[in-house]
Amino acid sequence: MKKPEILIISSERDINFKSITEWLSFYDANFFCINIDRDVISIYDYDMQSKNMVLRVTNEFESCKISLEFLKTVFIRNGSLKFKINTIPELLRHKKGIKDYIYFYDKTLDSFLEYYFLQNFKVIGLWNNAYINKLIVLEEAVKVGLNVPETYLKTNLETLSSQKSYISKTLSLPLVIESDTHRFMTYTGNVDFSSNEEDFMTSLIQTEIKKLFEIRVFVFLKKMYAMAIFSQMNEESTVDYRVYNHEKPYLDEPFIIPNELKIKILNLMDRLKLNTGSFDFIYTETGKYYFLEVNPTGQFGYLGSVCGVNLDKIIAEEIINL
Amino acid sequence: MKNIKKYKEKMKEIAFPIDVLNVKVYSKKSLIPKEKKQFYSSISRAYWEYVTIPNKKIL
Repeated sequence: MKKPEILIISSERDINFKSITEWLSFYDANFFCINIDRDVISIYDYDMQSKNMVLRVTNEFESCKISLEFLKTVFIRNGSLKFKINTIPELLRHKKGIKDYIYFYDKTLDSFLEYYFLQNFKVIGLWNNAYINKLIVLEEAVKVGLNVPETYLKTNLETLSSQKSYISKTLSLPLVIESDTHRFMTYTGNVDFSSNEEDFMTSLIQTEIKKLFEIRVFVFLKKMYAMAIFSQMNEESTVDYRVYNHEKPYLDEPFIIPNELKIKILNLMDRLKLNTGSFDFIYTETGKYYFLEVNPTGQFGYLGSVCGVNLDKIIAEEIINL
Repeated sequence: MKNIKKYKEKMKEIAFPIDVLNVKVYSKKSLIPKEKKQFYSSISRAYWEYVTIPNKKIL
């Protein structure tokens, strides 16, 4: 039976996760990875008196038992766990009673495991796909003194000034739709007053802040790294830097953020119970920082290379020394 | 849906939140991943794709 000191939960599609594990291996750390794309887990044995727990982790290649008696740290990089549910015959599978039973069975185990980890170990990252409510994040950002663009939830554009420029961004996930031949991907973009005359579903709208450049800040356990993204260099990436022109790439540079901003970021993280995340800011022509959003599981490998540091190595060292 | 115009018409018909109208379209041909060599790492218990595997003996 394996008895890891570090447990990592991640999707195998996450390149950072794999590189971090290589560094953990290099440092001879005692760790175990749960690959959420392939592994199915069950709470094999738990004694509420002694708090000893054994998990069984199964995929198409192997089935192993993991004792958590020496566990110290859980790093949830991304994803959520799949609990083992035996095959249910077709006749019963669609019965409401069975569906409800399975739903709450899964939910109970999942939320209990989150609780158990938080109570007993150091936990880095957020449970259950790192879902974070963008609207609550913006409200909390204002409370810690960060500048936030004027923000509205609207079902029509009637009360907005047509003299001002606005952007709309998703309050859910970015919508991706595929047809047989094409993939449609949505980004943050300007609001078009002329083509939105009818009512629509509740939409997140912000005033457009004219920026000099954008800043991405990656934080891991109070260590901070930042880069400036000169997305204004290309017309298509002016509003959303993810609209990338590979033939004419914009410039990214390491950036030192002021201490005052660092403190506000850490205060926001405290309020949101985050210990890692990627923060997006705008830097205006008048020298103001505007907070846009935080992604608890953002990619950071590129940011590290811009800043001249190997963040996978640093994260592995931080996890070991926690 | 074959183009942005038809996509936008459909989204407006549903009256979805307006952020879905900020769209870029990509041909799926350019998105079809090329077949890559991958290997299973017992360290990360995951498949790796994005690495260069040495195929020559390093002297």
